[in-house]
Amino acid sequence: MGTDPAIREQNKATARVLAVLSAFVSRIDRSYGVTELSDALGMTKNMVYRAVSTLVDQGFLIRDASGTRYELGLRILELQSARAREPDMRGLCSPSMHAIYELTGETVSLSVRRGDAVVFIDGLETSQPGTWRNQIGDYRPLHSVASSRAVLAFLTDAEIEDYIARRSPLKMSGNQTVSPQELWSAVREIRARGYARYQRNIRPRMISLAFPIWDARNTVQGAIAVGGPQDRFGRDAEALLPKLVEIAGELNARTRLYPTAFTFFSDDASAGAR
Amino acid sequence: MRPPVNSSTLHVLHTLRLVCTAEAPLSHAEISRRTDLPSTTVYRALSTLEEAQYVQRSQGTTGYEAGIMPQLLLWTLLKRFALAAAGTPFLTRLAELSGGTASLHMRLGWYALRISVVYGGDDIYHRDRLGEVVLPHADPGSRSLFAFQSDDAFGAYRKFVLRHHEDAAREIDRPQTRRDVETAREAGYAIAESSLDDLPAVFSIPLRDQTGRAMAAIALSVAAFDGAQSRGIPEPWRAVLTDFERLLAAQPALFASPYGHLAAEDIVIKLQKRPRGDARDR
Repeated sequence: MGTDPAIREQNKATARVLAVLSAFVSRIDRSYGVTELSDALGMTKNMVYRAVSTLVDQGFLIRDASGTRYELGLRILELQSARAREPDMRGLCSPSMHAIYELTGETVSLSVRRGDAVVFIDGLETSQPGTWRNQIGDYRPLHSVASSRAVLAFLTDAEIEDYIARRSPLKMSGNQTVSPQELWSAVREIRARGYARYQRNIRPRMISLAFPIWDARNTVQGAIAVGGPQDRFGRDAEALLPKLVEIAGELNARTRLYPTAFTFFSDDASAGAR
Repeated sequence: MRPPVNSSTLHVLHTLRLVCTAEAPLSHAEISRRTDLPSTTVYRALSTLEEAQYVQRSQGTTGYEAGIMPQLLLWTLLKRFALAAAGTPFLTRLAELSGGTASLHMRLGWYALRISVVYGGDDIYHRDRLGEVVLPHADPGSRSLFAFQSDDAFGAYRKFVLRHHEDAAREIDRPQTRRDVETAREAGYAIAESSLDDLPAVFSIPLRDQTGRAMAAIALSVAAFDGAQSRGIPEPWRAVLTDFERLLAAQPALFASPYGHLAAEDIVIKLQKRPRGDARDR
């Protein structure tokens, strides 16, 4: 099975058809031409042309108004089941969490914002000795750790000021506190980088990187983070950073598409009243 | 000349359609039975689809279900409607005020397509699936698209439904449907109130262009409240709707459809059965 060269070639052709269709994800304002697709996917124009013809024939792509370029067809609307659950944040982030774990071998976590904290909703824990504990349901105030700071930093300045006023003194682990000045400087750094890098300055020395997760409304919903002991992960983190940024970028290309929005009861009970 | 379509590709796309539209995860054997394809062909098709994230194994079962890729394609398609993003702040306000589910339906040929959904804070909520395509006369949320159109359009719609969705056509001619349209036109919106206490009331509020034709509709599914029909749209909701209408009057281009270049008659979509027990299966 699968050893027959003719069958192998057919499978490859089919994989190309799916790759061409997948190339349309996130392609919102523009259609694709055959040459452009062939450049983007590294396929010959002939291969792309065959794939596109199949997809047009099946209604998954259509010609755009110009008649020479392609855009998503309405058959896409038929690939949905009335019973299907909509993917939640965990489902959306799961492949990226696995990719980060495979890359680093360190503990990966996923958190979402709820009020003044982030709540950890998923995690992959390393089997190496010495690591963060990944406790699902645990929460951390927005000023305290890499994950929560990755969320805090992308609130508006006024929201951050309000938070500091509301939560001061800003307690950290080990009976320490962080001053508003220190927090603001961390916020500026995270905004400049696009992600949070946090080094615990008490023993055991740990380092973690947290990437914000953006939604379709251009707000940060939560963070995906990876971390480990400074001795082990410190050097790796620098070397792996470009790859990690790429994985986070791919994840955000997906979460930024997710159009369903939820509103929640806030602490102020009147917000939900009619 | 069109290149010949690879038969293995067709098997894969057929398998994809089957898995995505199934009512529950399908096992390898079940797919083989339903597609009439040999087991090895199905095995290869599923591996190819799984690799490309079009299907995935369903957790806790041996079956396959739709993967993330069909969703991402759907979300991309929906995002191409300018009204989806422009309407979200208003839907959010309506969901916050009502606690219910606020969604936006856009005309797509003779159909209505749900392009945006915001869920409110109520514990019990009405799930309005994103990307669902419905016939406006048969769906309480988009019924105002049916009610607020010209008599010419009404006739053409009826003809289209008769031709492509005969099962759904009977309801158009029912006297009750006519009465509902008249009531909606008088009130300026349509409302479907369930006779059962625990099912939601659904408001369908038209968003009209300068000619008065409803181009889109807001559906608001809220916990039934006493006298929803007689009391109508509460004042705070009305203020949000006025803001939205003002925006649309200033920017009518928001009504533009990315599929506007297709003739309505050429858009024929296979409709999906709603799960049994759906509040709107009436």
